[in-house]
Parts: sequence; C-alpha cells; structure tokens
Amino acid sequence: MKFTTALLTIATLAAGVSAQVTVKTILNNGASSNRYDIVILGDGYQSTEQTKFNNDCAAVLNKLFATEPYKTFKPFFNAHTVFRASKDSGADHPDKNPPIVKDTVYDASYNIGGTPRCLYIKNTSQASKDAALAPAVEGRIMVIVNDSRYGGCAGTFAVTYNGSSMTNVQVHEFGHSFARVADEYDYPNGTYTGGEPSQKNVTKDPTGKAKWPLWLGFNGVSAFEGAKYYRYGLYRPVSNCIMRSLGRPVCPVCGEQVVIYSYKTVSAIDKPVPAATIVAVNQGTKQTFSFTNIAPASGNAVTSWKVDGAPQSSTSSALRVDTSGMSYGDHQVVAQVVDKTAYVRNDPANDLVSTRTWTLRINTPKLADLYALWLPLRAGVPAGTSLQLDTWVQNIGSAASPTVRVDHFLSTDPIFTSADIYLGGYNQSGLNPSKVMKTSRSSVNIPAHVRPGNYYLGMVIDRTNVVKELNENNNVHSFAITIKPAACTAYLSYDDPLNYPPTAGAVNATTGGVLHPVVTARCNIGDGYIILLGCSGTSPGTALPPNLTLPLNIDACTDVFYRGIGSPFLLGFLGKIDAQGFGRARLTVPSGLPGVVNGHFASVIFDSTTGAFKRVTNAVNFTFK
Amino acid sequence: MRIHALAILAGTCAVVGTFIAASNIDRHPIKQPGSTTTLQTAPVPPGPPKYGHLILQLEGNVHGLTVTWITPKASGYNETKIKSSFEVDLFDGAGAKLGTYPIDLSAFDTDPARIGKPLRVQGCEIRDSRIVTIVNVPYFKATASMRIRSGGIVIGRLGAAGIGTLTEQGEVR
Repeated sequence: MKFTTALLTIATLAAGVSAQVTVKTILNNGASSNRYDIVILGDGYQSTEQTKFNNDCAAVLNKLFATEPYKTFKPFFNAHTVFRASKDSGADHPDKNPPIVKDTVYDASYNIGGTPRCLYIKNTSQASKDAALAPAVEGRIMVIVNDSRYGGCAGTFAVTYNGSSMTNVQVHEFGHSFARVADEYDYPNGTYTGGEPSQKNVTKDPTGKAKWPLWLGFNGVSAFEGAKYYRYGLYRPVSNCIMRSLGRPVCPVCGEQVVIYSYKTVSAIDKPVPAATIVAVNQGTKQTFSFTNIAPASGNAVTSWKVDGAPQSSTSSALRVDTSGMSYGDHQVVAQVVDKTAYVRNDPANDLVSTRTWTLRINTPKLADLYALWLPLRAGVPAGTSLQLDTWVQNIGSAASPTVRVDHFLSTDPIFTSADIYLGGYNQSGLNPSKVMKTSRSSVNIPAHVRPGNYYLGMVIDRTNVVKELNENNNVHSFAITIKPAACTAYLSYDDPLNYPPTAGAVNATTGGVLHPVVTARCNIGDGYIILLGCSGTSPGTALPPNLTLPLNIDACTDVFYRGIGSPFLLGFLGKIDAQGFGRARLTVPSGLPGVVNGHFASVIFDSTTGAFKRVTNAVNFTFK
Repeated sequence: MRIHALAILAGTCAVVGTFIAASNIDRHPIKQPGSTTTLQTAPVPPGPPKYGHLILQLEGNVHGLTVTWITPKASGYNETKIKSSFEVDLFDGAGAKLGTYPIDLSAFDTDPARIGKPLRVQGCEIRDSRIVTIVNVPYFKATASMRIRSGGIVIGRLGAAGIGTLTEQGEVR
C-alpha cells in the first residue's frame, strides 16, 4: 500500500467527541473530480491505537484491490482515512450478559436489529460529518470497528470488525454498499414467496434469464437455487461468490455491477484539455482537444470524436480542429470512450460510455453583415425589354459597411456566377448597422438574345467579396421569373460575361479581348445576316431598299472591317439565322494592337437566296482603346 | 457605290458556312463563404472559485430532509450517473435554477409506513427509515437557496442565511 500525500490534522469544534481528527490520503490516482473517493473511518480505536487503525485500513485496501474487478479498475479510486480517537476501545455488545457498553465516536454496536453478527454504527450523523473531512467522499463509506468479535453489516456504511476475517468481510460489505448487490447465502428462511428482488445478482427466475441472460454458460454462471436468505425460490448466478461465502471471488454478475457503479462516478475521459468546457478562439485557430484515457487497457476501449455531430477520423485521445472553415458562434466537440471490458456484458444505461463535450466558440468580430432582399416580380418579361427592380439592402451586422456593389444576374439556377447573364447593378453607399432597409429602384434591360424560358433573377451584394462580413452567405437573393420570346423584330446585342448594358462593348487594346455580338431575329430563321462596323456614327444611317435604314454610317472602317470578315478574328459576322433565331459572331482582338476605335456595329437581315434586305437591327457601341 | 457593293455582297451570301459555337466561359462562383478573420485573444476568464463542490449532510426521513451540515471542498464537483427520484435543486438569488443533483437513498428504507419504526436487518444488510446521508453538489458562488424534492414534492428547503452559516461552520481547516 502506498501511503501518500500530507498528513492533515484538524481541530474540530464539534462537542462530545474527541477534538483531534487525522485525515490521510492513502491512495491517490487522480483528481477527486473524476475518481471514486473511498473514505475509511475507524470506531473504537483509542488515540494510542492510531497505528493499528492505519494498518487495518491498509490491509482492507490491499485486499479490495487484489480482488477483481476492483484490481483492474483500481485507477478509478482514491482512498482517504479519517481517524478520530474514541474514549474506549471496542464496540458495544448489547447481547452479552452483562451487556458491554463502550464510549466510542460513532457508537458501534453488535446485534443491530437483533442480528448478533450485525455490527453497525449508531451515530451515523457524526460519521457522515467526519467522512466529509476527507478531500472528497461519494456517500458510501467504509468503517472498521476495533473489536475482535466477528461481525459486519452494510447500509450507507460498509462496516467490518478488525479480526482475522476483516478484509474479506469488508469486501463483502462493500459489495452491498458500493455495487448494490445482495447477499447470496440462503439461511435462515425456507421458500421465498415475494416479488422479484431489485438486486442484479438474485432472481426468482429458475433459468437466470430474467437477470443475467448474457452470462449464462460463461465462467460457471447458471442459476443456483438458494439466495438472499431463502433456501428455495430464489436463485444466484454461481455456486459460490463472495456475496455467499467469505474468501470467494467476486462472481461475474456481481463484478459487472462493480464496474458499472465505478463508471457511474468515474469517466474514462480524464484530465480533459482544455479543462474548461467552453473554449473561445478566433476563426482560423487550430484548436487541439485531448484527454487521458484511463479505461483499463484490457478493455480495448474505443475512442471516437464528433464535431457538430459529424464523426471525425481520429480514434486517439486527441483531436485537432481547424476552425478556418467554421462559422462564428458555438460549435460542439464531443469525445467518447466506450469501454469494451469483458467484465460487463449488460450495460443498459450505457454507463461504460464516457463522454466529454466542449463548446467551441468562434469569436464573433465586429463586422458588417449585408443582407439582400427584394420584391419579386410576378409577371413574365419579354426578352429585349426593360423591367423595374426594387432592391433592399440591410446591414444586420455589428459594424458599418463601406460602399458596396450590388449586381443583378439572370440564371437558370439560383446560383449566380460571372458566366450568367449580367443585368448590371449599382453602388450601394455605406450603411450603419442599424438594420434599416435601404431600398433602391433600378431599370434593367433583358438582352434580346436571352432564350425564352424559366430563370432566376438574382441580386448579389459584394460579389467580389470586398467587404468582410459576419455572414457571407446572406448576400444573394433571387426569385423565379419567366422570360418570354423577344418581339418579332431584329436586335443586335453583346452576349459577354459581366457586360452591361448589352448594347455596349469594349476591348482593351493592351490586353486584347473577345466580344460576342448576337443577332436575334426569331422571325427570320434561315435568313442571312451580316454585322458591319462603322466609325462615323449611326445617324443619318444608310438607306437600304426597299425602305430600310441601317443605323450605321458606312465609312472607311466598314470597308476595312468587311475585308476581314471570315478571318479568325471576325468569325460569324456573316451567316444564317439559326433554328433558335440567333446569329452569333465572335470578335477577337489580339493584345497590343495600336489605335483607338469608337464605333458601332449594326446588322442587316437578308433573304439568303435572293439577297433582298428584310430587316435591320439596332446599333451597338464598340470601343477599342 | 457603297450601297451597291453591299447589295452585291448580300447576294453572295446565299450559303453561309458554319457558325461559331458559344465561347467557353469558366463558371466561377462569385462568393466564397466562410472566409477567415483573425481577432484578438478572448478575454481571460476570472480565476477559479475558492471551492469546487459542497458536501451536504442531509438528515430526516422521506417526508422531510434537513441540511444539517455543509462542508465546502476545493476539488471540483464529480458528476454522477446515478439516478434518483430524490433531488437537490440549487437556485440563485433571483430564483433561477442553477442545477439539480441526485440524492442516492437506495441504502435507506424509503417506505413512508416505516417512518419511526426500528431499522430492519436482513442478513447483513441494514435498511433504516431514519436518513443520514451526504450528497455532493457543485459550488456556485451565486447559490442562494436549496430545495430538496421527492419527485415533485418538496421535502426540504434551505435559504441563503442557512447556507452561509452552515458553510462557514463546515469549513474546517
């Protein structure tokens, strides 16, 4: 027995008992906040018998922890002794003639309840107070009585005499007190006629299935008649257990209860790090959670982790959580250890499942939080027309926002990307975090080249993520809209990402670029078209027979441009309107070309057989600089 | 001249070759949620309390339990999985419940009909209707009252004054 920690001598003010109390910790396996703290009191020891008390305590603990499954689970226990000297040595023997009466601190006596060998204490109030002087106590307390007459009894206190069977008696009585198991001896009664006993190690069921079905056939477990003071009608798991005869092992069914009650007080997850249950970190922190696993190695305990309910790959006693992708606020990190010990086959309350939960709090910074909302349109809109949008922007964050861009898109799904049809936008000036809705009204043009169908019209705040926000996931709002076919006329527009309005296009001379003019003429399917460039404006335009006016002044630019049509740089500028009513062109401008061009494109639709002019489109701006 | 040239041009366009397919455009999401921010370290929490848990001594019977002694302890509260219909509730000064903790009376005779009668002994097991037991509860600085319940029936109370007095008496060093 390892005697550890300091000796603590305490002067008590309690009246009527010895003033000196000595508290010692004789087994220290860890912090009391996660151990079963056994407290051993002595009664009937005089002040000169303190060493004898110490030796008796050591002997009792040695025996207990030499007995399985206490031996395996010894790391779950601490043990403390509290010694208060009695005036007399020994205990009361009221059944002697003449009666023996001793003046002891807890008033230990034989013949409790008329049972001669039932040795118990009568001053349980003082004993409880003294037990509480130990660093910790779980409520079930051992008492050793300094008397050589055989005896013991168990209730809240597990009491033994200190004669030759002391250690075996204490293991037996502690089985009652700690593990709540019943006596298995079968005297003095005959046949049992009562209800099913509450204890796990005795049953009325002659097969044993009612109480220990998972143990039947293992380690000698069956159903043996005779238990809990009755020769007949009650059954025990094994032929002979320490709950029947002193010196026997703890049987499997009783041992199961020892382990279960150990786990009711002690978690396999010890010394959790961080010790606090709430861990506040900044977003981006890599936070490690860990613990010491004190489940016996023989039990092959299984460790698992979850973060916000999602299982993690770690099966060790540590987990590193990267908070970079986690939202602000509280998250849950749970460690679990399940002891698979062979001592337990039936664990209905999952006592062998140890769990530790941390709240991982991602600090919420002072940031803006822009929230998008608008009133949906209910009617369909023809392509090539404009519509009015009323958009709302709120700052529901904790800091003011700077001026931010609000963009509109048309998409076939509610996810908006730069490849969707761009409908322009506006700059929203800075907003205080007042949650006041800022409304804006915009008129946007639906390009004529938009195919008829069902779309989502979306507003996107801060699409390039310039503003750091508390919540980056509430910047988009959309509603469903039907785009109707364009009118039966001819249009020219650009179909390019993030280009708005669709009637203006530009190419940077330094970087070069690509533009995609589109002729939309749904009533001219199969007709020819040609897209021409002019650099001298759109008025008065060019008259075409029979009575059309192309909104483009034909000039030298037109001649140069015309000669290039069909080259890799001017593809599709001459062609046929396809089955969907479109004629698509592609203008590629290499990087580094000199010069500045401000001009217009316009298109003519003609009969592809006769060449007769049939329609002209609008003009669109083109800038090259 | 130019108009004439245009007419000739148009006439030659009876057959038009293939057309250019739509250009390839990468569809990159506009917004990427979950961006990170580094902030200052969280405020340092206050130091640990003087006590970690309290040992309450309860005495009486199933109809009434009194807290007769309180022993404060430095070590932290050790939570138990033991269930019981007897419980202690702790409240703060505003009446808000701070927690509920089980009282294990399985070693006592909780049959009300046995109150006042001699304890019973079967074999070496004692069942007494006179209850003397201890129960662990966490120490909260804010604890202003305690309530002891048997299910929904209150069988004991302790106010702020009693808690203070008993705690001071119980603290033996």
